[in-house]
Amino acid sequence: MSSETESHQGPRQFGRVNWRGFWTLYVKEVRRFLNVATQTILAPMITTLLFLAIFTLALGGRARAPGDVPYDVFLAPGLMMMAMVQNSFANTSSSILISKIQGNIVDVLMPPLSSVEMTLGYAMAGVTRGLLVGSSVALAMWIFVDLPLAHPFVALFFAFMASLTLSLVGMLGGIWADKFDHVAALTNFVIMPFAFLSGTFYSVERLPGVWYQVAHFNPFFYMIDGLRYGFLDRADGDPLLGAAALIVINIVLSLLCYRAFSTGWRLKS
Amino acid sequence: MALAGPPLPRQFGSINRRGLWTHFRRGLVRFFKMPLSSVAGPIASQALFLSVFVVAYKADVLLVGGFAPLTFVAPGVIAFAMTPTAFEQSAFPVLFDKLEGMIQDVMMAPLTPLEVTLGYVGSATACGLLLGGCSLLILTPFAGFGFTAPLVTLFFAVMGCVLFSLMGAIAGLWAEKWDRYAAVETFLILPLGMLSGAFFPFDQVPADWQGLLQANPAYYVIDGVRFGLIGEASANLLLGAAYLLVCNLVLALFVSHLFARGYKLRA
Repeated sequence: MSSETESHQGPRQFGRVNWRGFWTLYVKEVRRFLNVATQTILAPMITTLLFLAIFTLALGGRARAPGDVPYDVFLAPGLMMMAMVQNSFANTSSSILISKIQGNIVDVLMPPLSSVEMTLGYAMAGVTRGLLVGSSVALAMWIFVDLPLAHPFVALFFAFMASLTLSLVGMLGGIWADKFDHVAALTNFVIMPFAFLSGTFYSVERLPGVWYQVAHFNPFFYMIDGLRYGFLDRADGDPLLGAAALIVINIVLSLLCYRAFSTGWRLKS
Repeated sequence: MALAGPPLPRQFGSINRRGLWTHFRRGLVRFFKMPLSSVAGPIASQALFLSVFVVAYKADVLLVGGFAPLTFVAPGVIAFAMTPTAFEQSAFPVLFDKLEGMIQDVMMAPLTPLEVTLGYVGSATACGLLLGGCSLLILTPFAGFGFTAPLVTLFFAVMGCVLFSLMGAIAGLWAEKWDRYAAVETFLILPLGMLSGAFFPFDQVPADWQGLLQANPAYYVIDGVRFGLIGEASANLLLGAAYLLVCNLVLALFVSHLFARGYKLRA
């Protein structure tokens, strides 16, 4: 009577954290973007290489880059970071929004997953996409650009932190949005301007007065600057300050996501 | 004795004007359904492109013909706002209608294949031109255009939008899922638009690559649009116009042939 004994087992037990549940959500999320890898990995890679081409062609020796660094070398880490932030954001925001619109978000809300596990599962999948995009862009760029890698662990740290920040922001955006137009607006009017204007293409050192001050309150500036420090061993700002700021921002954002999942804000009626 | 036989089919001349107009209007209505992502989005990203270029150049750089970077890049940005929009606004509707089964409503209507093509391509072209017009309005106060030959700009803008809408129609018909559509956009439309001289002067391109640029129809679109606005062109305008006319004619016939055959539409 094995079937009877099984039916008396009761609900499955787990410790404080349902690691298996977390892992399942994580794998589901990673498979989601790998399933359309042309769009999620290859496309950002091509776009970034095109950016590298047109900016190097257009600006060559005439850019506001520090004199001792060739412009393509200066540009490469900035573009990598731009690709990473856009893709981490896109991963979590689109996943949650699509689940909401199609109604299959209940498949995430119903299982025995706590808010911690949901936050972690989505966030880590977003980070995975960010890092995959970042490293494929880096590999492709090494073919064309003579790029040093001065502090690999610093580069990895900033890549991880930035992807995490944007995954968390994307999560909040996806939970908040009601339709695709909303996420498109966030992408076009918030994420893209920050990614473009925070020193990807030029050194903020050369910006006029007020804008130079403003740049130092912009978290995206520290992400780009930190990654650039990891590759080139030169920075416009203070990488330690940047690292500290990113850690604080990520803790705050994680708490916000945790809270959104536990209260069911815009997820449960 | 029957008083009234079955109703006669509606009569129209050589072109079903009313049907064509309805089909065309449907495309425009669609475009304005999502104004944030279809109109404001592209304009915002073009503004970003422009500001990045302007800030990234050293303060006193002048490009070919003695133009400030803003004046030189702005026409390219306008052209680059139009062409991808024209592509999207014809590829998206064709593919969406196909995947949702709504393309039957277009295929069953008394429209000839040429009219179906004209409807999809015409509305996409109109969307592209509208977007280009908006960016032109926004940029005119800053960019210092001379408006040497506005009609030349208009001609090349129309040619460019038609070209990209035709490519869009082909992509929409060919694609079986969104992934394929995205692939065409990434591997064909984006490189054509970006490597077209929108953002950099032709003479800065390494000599081995110049031939590649000259084969790219988008290069002539941008060159023509720029000539009309600031009076600077690096290619022969007549050659460009002829090349674009031929491309458009061939593609239009091809697309209308695909609709007539029901390529990937009829079993």
